[in-house]
Amino acid sequence: MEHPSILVVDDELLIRDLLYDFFQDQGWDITVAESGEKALEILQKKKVDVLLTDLRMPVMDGMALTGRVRKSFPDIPVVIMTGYPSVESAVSALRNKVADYITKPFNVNELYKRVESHLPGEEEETV
Amino acid sequence: MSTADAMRARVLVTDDEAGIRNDLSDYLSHLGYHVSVADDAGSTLSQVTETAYGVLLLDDILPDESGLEILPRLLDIRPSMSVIVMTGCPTVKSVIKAMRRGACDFVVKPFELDELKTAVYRAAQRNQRLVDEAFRNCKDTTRDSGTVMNSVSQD
Repeated sequence: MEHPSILVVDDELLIRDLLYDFFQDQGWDITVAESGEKALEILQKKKVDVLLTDLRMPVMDGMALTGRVRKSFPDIPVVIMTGYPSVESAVSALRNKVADYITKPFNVNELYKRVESHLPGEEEETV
Repeated sequence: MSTADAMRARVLVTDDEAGIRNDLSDYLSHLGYHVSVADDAGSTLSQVTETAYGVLLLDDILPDESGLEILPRLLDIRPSMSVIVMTGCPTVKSVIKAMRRGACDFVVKPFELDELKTAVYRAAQRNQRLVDEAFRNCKDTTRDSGTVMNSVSQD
């Protein structure tokens, strides 16, 4: 895929900026959103290959966003990232057909490899 | 898919503890599933090779190899089979591993039978959906090849 597109959703500006610069450097078409509501607005207007979302956000958390995305855009792989990992949220992610669950702090190169493996047509990397 | 269809699924229960195997087998058979059991990784691999199970309840800790280790091989053999990983020692890492290796669910022991009932039902529905999709794709491919063959024969 020449210029894959990604939507990054995180209420932390620092993470949005870090990932914006990184994915742009890799040649990706990246859009960022600071909330789940904003992400849903963007998805109505823009084609996205992968959605990368924080789990813990005010109003609509990453799992609620995943539920909405699964209903309206079932083909978009959703990758969750969280600084508060738990068995419960990881199981909930698995049951909600989340493609991947990444814990913060992350190595951005590792995160990139995981996200890239969920692009349509890419072979998923197992661990 | 109807409830009755989902409950006709073949289910394999793999656990090295005889008590759990027997309890789960009795419970799921009572619900209407066709249940078989295995007590280690080796017999799970051979049974999955021989029989088209729709759902596998796979204990993580087994005497020969761990459930999570054999999971990719099992799904290579039966890609549409729904695998529910069971463990008494859950960690975030083990859930992530299960997710990345293709499990569709993860249950923590001890579990409520109602939770298991829901998980197995959901897994059976998922398996049926994947089998139906594969069947439709196969029919489409056959129809397309037929079209190509007709067009070739007419040239």
